[in-house]
Amino acid sequence: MNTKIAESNEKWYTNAGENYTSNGPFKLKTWKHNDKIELVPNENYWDKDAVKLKKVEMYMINDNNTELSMFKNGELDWAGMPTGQLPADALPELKKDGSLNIQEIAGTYWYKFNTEQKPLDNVNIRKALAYAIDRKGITEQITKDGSVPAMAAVPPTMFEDNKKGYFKDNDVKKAKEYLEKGLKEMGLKDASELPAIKVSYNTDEKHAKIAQAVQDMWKKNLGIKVQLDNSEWAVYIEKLHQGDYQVGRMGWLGDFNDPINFLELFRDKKGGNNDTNWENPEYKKLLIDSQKETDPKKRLEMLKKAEGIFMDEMPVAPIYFYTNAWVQDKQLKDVVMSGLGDIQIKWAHFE
Amino acid sequence: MFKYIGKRLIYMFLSLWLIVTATFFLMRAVPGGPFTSEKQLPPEIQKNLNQYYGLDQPWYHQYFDYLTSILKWDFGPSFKYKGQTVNDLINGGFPVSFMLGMEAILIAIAIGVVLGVIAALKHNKWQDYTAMVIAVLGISVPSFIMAAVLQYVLAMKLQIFPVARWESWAHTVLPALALASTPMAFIARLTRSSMLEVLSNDYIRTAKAKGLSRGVITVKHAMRNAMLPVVSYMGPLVAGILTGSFVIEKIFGIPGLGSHFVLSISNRDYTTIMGVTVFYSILLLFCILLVDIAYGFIDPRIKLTGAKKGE
Repeated sequence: MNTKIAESNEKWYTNAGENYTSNGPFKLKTWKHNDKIELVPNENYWDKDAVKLKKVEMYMINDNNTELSMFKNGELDWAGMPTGQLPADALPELKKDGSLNIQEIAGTYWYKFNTEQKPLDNVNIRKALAYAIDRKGITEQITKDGSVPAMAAVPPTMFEDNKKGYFKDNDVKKAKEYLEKGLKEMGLKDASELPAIKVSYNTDEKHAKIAQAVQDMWKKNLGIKVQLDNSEWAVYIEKLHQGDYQVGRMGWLGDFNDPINFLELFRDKKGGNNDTNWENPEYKKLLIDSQKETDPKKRLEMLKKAEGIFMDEMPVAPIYFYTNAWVQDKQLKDVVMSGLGDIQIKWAHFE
Repeated sequence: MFKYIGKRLIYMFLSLWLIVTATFFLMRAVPGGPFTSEKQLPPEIQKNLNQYYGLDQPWYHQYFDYLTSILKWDFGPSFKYKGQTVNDLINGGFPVSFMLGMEAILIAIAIGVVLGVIAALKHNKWQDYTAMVIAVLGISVPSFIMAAVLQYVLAMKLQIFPVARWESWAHTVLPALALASTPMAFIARLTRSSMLEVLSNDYIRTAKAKGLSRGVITVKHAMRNAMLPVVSYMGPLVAGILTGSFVIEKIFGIPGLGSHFVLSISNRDYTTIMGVTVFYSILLLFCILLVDIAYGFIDPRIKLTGAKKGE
């Protein structure tokens, strides 16, 4: 950060112009708030000869359908993640005509269990609920964007064998076994004696559909009644943080491509992103020790072991791993997408 | 007249104060604050943020601080958009919404009044029925469907206009049409029923008997009286349209003020909520005042000051 600029102009970051400091292959030429951003090649960039694009215009469009219409009309060269989003009902049609691009990214969509509320304080009940979900059905009928069923917490971009996961998807038989064990431990004879479980989510079409599907699965497979509860985002987050929920939907996208980013969410019971009120001393020790371990192979083994403990206690039921879905102009080449889902347009060009 | 305007301005001030107070307390009552997110902030940072935005002061402190800064036309920094003040947001968004709104109002008035007058003059003939079918469609079809249809037909299929955004004159046509469709239909119906009522009055028959031409009767005598309901409708309509329609601006990607009205609430952006509410209220109260003054000019029978007629 250029100290001269920081000292002379406190608000250098609020608008584009002479004082806007940045590194990287492009620099900010204009920034019309709420409207568009223009990028031009940065002549001071170390690798400036590799940059082929003369100008990048980024339009701020809030409506997904408008974004796709503009792409189809030739007004946009890229529609969808990571910069925007494709409308969910357009995905099957785009898949059919071959223009849909999909890439798995480092993110997991999961249902958190509030382990301080009955009956979710019983690990067998939690496992029963997690095993009784048909993830393949959800990803094929609801999300339809190539998301991968998740039977593990850490995405496959970090632990490759998490593609297979720790248990079988939609294993209703095993789920019923866990349910029986849990009921016996609680002194109950039948699932109908359990109170209705509340599944909370923030207002969104996709979350609503998935919650309804899960409600149906738990009723049909386990005989457990579910009540749905939806709130607006800020209200919903407050509920989670205050523990005012039983089962709550959440997702986590990796900030960097290492498992610790996902595992440390649940290290401390009152950690800011935990919300499940679960913690485990052995899990905690493994995570803390892994940060001192200098041998990368040994370190990853420690993290995998920690994940094993996590999946064995199931404070969270993973549902699917996220993907990026997008369409791009056929002539646009060499846009590189990282495992976390960001794009690098340094080498991009039109043929 | 000036005494009347003076009295009205005092009432406006009072209303504004009530609106500001009600909004201030209502928005604080909603759970979740401006810094609520799934990545919980460490307590020290929360404390600093609260201090910077003055949220750690007792409520009456915050309330009075806010009242005094509004009087100076300073709505404070936006909680959500770092580095921008609410004044920046309004100054950036309002001119765009204003332009779009004016276009829509002009279209609505021009087409609406013409349709209504034709329908009234050709009462119960095919022109009447056609005009009224158009009006019913305009009122019933929601603006976002109208917007999508316009985008699909005129932009994508016929390639006459661009799909979205706000760059050139051509970009303004589709959103203005979508925005104007419902008001235009309303104005058409209002004009029609008002004209029908006026045309059956005695003084119109007198004018015809005196031999005045159809055109003069319609425009000079009938329309002037028929416009009264339309003018009443226009007051709140103008205020609402000029501050931006959230739906139209979202669909057409227009950087206006409309989105801030809705998004600021889900963002719990307290200053922006207050700022746009105050701004809209001032505009609305002003438009209503203008409408009332206009009454006095259009219909001399109406004496705003309540003085006796004739005398």
